[in-house]
Amino acid sequence: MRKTIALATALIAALLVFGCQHKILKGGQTLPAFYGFFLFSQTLNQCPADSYQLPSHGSGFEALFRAGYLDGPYCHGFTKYQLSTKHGFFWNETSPIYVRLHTGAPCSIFVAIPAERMCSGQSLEQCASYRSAQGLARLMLQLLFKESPYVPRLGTLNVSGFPEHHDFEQWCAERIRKKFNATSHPVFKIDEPAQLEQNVD
Amino acid sequence: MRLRHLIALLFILPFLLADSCVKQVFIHFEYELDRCPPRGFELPENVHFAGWELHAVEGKPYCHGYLRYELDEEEKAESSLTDEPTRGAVVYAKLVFGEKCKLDLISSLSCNSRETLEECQKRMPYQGAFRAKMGTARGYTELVAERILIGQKFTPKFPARQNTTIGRAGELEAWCAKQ
Repeated sequence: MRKTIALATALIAALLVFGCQHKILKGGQTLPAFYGFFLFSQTLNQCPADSYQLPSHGSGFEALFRAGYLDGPYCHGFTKYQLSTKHGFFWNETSPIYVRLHTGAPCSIFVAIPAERMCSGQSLEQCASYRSAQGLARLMLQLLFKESPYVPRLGTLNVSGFPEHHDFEQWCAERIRKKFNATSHPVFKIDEPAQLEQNVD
Repeated sequence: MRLRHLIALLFILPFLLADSCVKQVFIHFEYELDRCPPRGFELPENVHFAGWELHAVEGKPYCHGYLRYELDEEEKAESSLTDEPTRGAVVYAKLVFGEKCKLDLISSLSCNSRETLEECQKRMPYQGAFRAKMGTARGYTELVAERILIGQKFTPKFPARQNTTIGRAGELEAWCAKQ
């Protein structure tokens, strides 16, 4: 009897303690070190309205996407999406896809796709990882802009490769650091985007 | 330990623990800006102030469209009695461009589960050194608003144009999804 009561007490205590604990989860770092990233960027046909925001979830083309707190390195200013594609009766979930809408001129969209293997000594067209990443990037963009007047302009696709995931993480950190010329810490200075290109087709 | 002690403990324990059980309550603040930031402007990844650092980091609850910052001490002071000050201190931030430009901040309060929000706000829910420096949610969030845009050509106007209590983590996620 005593044992039962003691056990029940311990169980209630454990439940309460765990229930009350603050769990501040740090960004996941569970992608294996050999993962690389392809980064695609494309200008948009027009600049999005001030109130425009990328959708948090959606579906279409036998695929689903949802934004959230997902595994993979943190990239400031990028939203992480989980994309699921239908294959017969099954749904395949991709690794997180990173998307950033740049609203300064030229308005553009950035999509970073993790790749299991980066290619060396091959053209991009020969590289299976690149083709697969490009397919996912296209699908993600189609889904994101499905119900909006904004579309990536054909022929403006740029791509960069990061052989390992920490290279991408480093690029992310440097990108935002460059925007803030931190010469007199902690006072930051904005490096305003150059007015180089118009987005109107 | 006698049986009656165990039985008494069984009944008292939930109440004892409930008092130390901390819940996070989120409050949304909207600050007007004296000038609007150029499109493409981004909030920084790190902000330093008064020995503290706000750094952007992912976590739960997720709030779509907002950057999530956690508060930490730059260097742990030896006199620091406890880690309490940083517990659960999270801020979500978003800049809205255009004519109605504004800085949106969502601040978290750490309240005891049995106190009302009013009681919690009065008590100054940031504890220890953090409490001494920052005080109330309103004061703390104004400090963050000021520091997150420090050195820029646009500054937030105080007090906040609007503040709304969102509620707990689940309610925050639902609120963010609606925006």
